[in-house]
Amino acid sequence: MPRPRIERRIRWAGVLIGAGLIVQLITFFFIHPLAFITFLGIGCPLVAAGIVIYLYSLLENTPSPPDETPPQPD
Amino acid sequence: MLVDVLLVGVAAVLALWLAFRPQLTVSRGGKIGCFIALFILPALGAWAGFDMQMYHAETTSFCLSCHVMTEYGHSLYVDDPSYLPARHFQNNLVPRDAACYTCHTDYAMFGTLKAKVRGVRHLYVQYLGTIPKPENIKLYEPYNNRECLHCHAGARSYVEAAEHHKSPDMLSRIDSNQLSCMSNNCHDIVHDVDTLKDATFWKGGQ
Repeated sequence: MPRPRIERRIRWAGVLIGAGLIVQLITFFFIHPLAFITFLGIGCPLVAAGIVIYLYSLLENTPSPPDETPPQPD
Repeated sequence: MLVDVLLVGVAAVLALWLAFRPQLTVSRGGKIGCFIALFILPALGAWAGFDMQMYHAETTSFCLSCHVMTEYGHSLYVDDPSYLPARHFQNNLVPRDAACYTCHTDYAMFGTLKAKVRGVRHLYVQYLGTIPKPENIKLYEPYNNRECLHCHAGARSYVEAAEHHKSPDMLSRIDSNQLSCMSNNCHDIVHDVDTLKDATFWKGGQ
């Protein structure tokens, strides 16, 4: 059975955020300009992309207000 | 620092866990957990990481990690107190782990920001540009006495030094940056990396 779209989006968001944070974590152990650039150029964009996908999935799945059309007389 | 590492580590584990168990977010509690794991913690972790990187960028080892700066690092160990940076570094007049940053950041409102922007430019030159010889590296603008006075202003050794009263208005001219601390015959020996080959070096503090 195919997964709902929101679950697929959350999966993508989790992967991107996890990957970005792992990249950031690795850069913490090096005091070097390249570590700084990797943090800003790879780690942060991955995390930001994941957060945006997650927030977008929330917006997309916001339930629409119930239909308030009065019942039609028979 | 350990807290930052832990925060980012926990956030990464939780995000990956949710990536492989997205069905957990169906329940109300799962939705709240998902919001924390995919928004709150990553945002906090990224901020903590940025803070740590900023701290790293202020360290002496960070500045000296580019090969072209090696000679400037050596100049901190010259066994000659007339070398201004060496005197400050060896006598703990500046923190040794942030020696470059302490003297080369403008003590003005946007000093730190300007230093970081310049640092990015240095990175570009280091990896994509033409690297100058160490002795050809110059300051962007003449060194401002404000950076010296950040520590020395009001100090007895500065205010009462006979060398600072050679003329009646000398001290006020120094204070207002009209007369540079690095003027000829004052504190004019700074890094002078082109003279290091003949210098002797202090062995302590390494």
